[in-house]
Amino acid sequence: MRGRNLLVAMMLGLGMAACADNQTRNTLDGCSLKATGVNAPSLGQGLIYEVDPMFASGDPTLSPLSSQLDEYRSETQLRFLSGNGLLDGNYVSVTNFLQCAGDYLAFDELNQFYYGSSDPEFQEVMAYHYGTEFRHYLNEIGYLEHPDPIELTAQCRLQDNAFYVRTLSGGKIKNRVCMGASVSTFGAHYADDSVVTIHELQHSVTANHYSSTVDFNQLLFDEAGSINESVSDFIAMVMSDRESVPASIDRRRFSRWALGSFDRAYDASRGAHRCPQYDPSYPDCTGFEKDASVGFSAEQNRVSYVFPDGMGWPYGKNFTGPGYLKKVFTTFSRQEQIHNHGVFFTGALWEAYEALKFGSGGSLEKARELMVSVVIETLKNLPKPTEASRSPITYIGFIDQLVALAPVVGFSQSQLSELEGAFRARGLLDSPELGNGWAALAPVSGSVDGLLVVDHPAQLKRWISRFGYSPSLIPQGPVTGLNGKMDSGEIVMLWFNIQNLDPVTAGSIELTVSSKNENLEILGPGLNFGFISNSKAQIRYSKINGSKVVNALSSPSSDFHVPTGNSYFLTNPQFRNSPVTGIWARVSGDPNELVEIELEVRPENGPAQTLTLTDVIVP
Amino acid sequence: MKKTTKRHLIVLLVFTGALATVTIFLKKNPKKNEAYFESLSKVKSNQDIQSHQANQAKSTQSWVPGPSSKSGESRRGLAQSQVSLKSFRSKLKAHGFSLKPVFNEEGKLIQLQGKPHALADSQRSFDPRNEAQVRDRATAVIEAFRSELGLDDRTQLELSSVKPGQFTAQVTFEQRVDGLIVHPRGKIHLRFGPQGELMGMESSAVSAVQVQNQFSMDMHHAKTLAFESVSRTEKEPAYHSDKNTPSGTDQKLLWVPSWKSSNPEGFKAYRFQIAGREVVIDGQSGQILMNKNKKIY
Repeated sequence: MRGRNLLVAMMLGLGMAACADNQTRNTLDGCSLKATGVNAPSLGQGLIYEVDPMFASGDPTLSPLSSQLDEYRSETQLRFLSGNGLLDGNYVSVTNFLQCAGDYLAFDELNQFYYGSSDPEFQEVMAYHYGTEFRHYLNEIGYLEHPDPIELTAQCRLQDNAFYVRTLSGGKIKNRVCMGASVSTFGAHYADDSVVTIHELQHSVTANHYSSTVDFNQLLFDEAGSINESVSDFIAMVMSDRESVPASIDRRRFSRWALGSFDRAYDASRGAHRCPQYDPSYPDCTGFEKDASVGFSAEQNRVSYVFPDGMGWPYGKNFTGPGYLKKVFTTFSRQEQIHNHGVFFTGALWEAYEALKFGSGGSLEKARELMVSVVIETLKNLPKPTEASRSPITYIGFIDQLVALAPVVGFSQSQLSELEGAFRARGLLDSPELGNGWAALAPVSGSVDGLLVVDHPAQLKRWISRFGYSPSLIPQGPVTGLNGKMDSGEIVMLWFNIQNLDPVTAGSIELTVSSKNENLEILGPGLNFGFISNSKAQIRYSKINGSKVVNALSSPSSDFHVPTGNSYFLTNPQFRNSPVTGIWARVSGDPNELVEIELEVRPENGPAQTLTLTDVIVP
Repeated sequence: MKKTTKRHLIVLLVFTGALATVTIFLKKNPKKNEAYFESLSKVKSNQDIQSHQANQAKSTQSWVPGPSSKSGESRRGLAQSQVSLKSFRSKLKAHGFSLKPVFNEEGKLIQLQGKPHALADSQRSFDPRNEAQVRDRATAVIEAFRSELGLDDRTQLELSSVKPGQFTAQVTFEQRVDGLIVHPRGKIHLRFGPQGELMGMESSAVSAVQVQNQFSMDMHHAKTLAFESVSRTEKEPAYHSDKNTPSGTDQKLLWVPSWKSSNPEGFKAYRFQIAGREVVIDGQSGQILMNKNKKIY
């Protein structure tokens, strides 16, 4: 690490100046190691933005390029410092990667951390303050997930993003958060947006309360991943709620600053509203209705964020009209991306929170404590993967568990009713179910019904690299690899086109794919995260439209007509642009031999069904 | 090495490992079990179990001890299980009225699902904040269901985590074979409600793992391979990592990827955590067994 190298250099007498009483801090690069030799108090002061610059200024149109940003800083107390003059405390320890290679930058012997908003230390103070206050709150209500401080790198080497990661070090869990910077707006930092910091720290809460040994997210796309993101958004929004919010600020919008303003060409913010920004009734969402026949309309550009039909519709207005829904459907490739998928779920949790806040005898503090407690208690008690279900966490299962635990954490009967009302409105309780015999195999162009084979070598080589494997593992070349069929010796990716014969949309479909003979081998868990054995693996599809929503999205006008249908391929036409929902397999056997596959399709809102399909190895 | 000598060595290793680590060998303790079940003697009807069996029988996910399972393997499992069905039901009742079991195709119990507040008021003597009580309750549950879970006397389970809490408590056991942590299988998770009722259990424990390799590649070499693999996926690792020095995050384990309970293959392997990714390398061949992004954005 750079700081340590410089310390060695100082000790070797290479002429670098060092503080006389502090040999672990160097005045050349201004970086410090943890042991500063300073004996400072545990309290300090610093400058921060209240929530984010838009919130602090009351101006939702404020630009990250504004020259006025310093005016919106305010003074705050910095608590629980270790007393070494750094932003190192009981709950978080804020390091700097870009300037200090992971050591500490901000330093003051008297804990006076006053910086301009363009100074890197300012982001460190923001991260320290909001990280500390969030984790202290968790501790106060009995839900601190880990006793050690989290290493929070406020100036991380990361473009336009932030992340949390858990590692095992010497048998101990170590939690880290990395906050990146914007590429499109130079000088704009994710740590300036406190909801992003809390969002990432909540990932630690989710991971560690769920399990010390098993990951919460299992598959590349699953509802666990989406719930993980939704819960982080929700908790960050609840922690950022205030009794008094500027009238111009919408409390229901997540990351209006970093995700909403850094990239002027794309609004990546999310929200707890009942409809997306391209619905003309946004933000009030007056057309909201959980019945798909009413809650969706291609001609009205109406989308209702409900289970299951509202899943996967993006929140931001990044599309052109007049047929916004058509444009979204035909161009948006991230329907099954976990940050995008669960927007409706964030909204359900938020409305439960507001019902408690504005309900009889409710208050912000009481509603916050009840909702944070019951959400975390639910996380602690969600099921772990088994061979029956490699990805067992679902929206419906989460809500069932939450409702069961609400009385345990102190919800009264009336509060429980308010909670259930919010979830029922979003389709998460008592929703219509699919009938028996809802599933069938849908036609696939150029293939047998229900089966899509991707064997294109260039495509597969690109994808397999993403899993850390050498592209040379894809054996086929263009001779056999361009026919979209199973040739012996090929590694292929498979998708299954399931048709939904019911009016109701099938939500969160767990597919158990079983190869019934040795001609098709399911590849291992390094590629198929839902691997069960060499003949069986699981995957999840987000939803398969029912006829109600298909009808609602059709229009006689080509400007508005959404070319969807009641099969998986026509519900998410962009599915094959990434390997997220595919199954990796190897074909062997002789030409003309059969490949037999059994599919068990299990939606969250209906009965399981078994389908079989047969293909032939290319003669 | 002769097969018998090898087997003796493995037994010796297992035994020594057990003495050297904080490990629980779960052996049957009939007296303790009887006393435990007597203390939970107030149980209600078995309607929940029966109705669940009826519901599960409609599905094809996994069989439960009921009359309507459909696959051949399930029928074999059913025959085995009917012998002990009565005692199994009584155990279920003792741990919570609404526990729903899920068995795999081999007839092993892999899941129990329940709800909070499932025990009668008279049984409230449990404090989920009391770590010792939580640990004892978890050990008792494992004891009670050990035959259904497919655990034998050689199964080496380590108490990996006990999390007491103000309302609920969670416990995890991890399995070791030849002193190595089994991964990603080999875990038993238990969750208890405010009254000590079992709210949920999942097991991925394995028996008779068939170890396929030995550690013949050193960790440095394996780590170099891990870095090569990571470099295909990460252009800019967010943190520095020293690829020449084993770090605290490097670990040996027994990689058991197959989710079948009996006789699965196991591979001695190294696990590294590099740039937010978990990389598992075969300890003999150097093959990449897993390279998974663990960063949550």
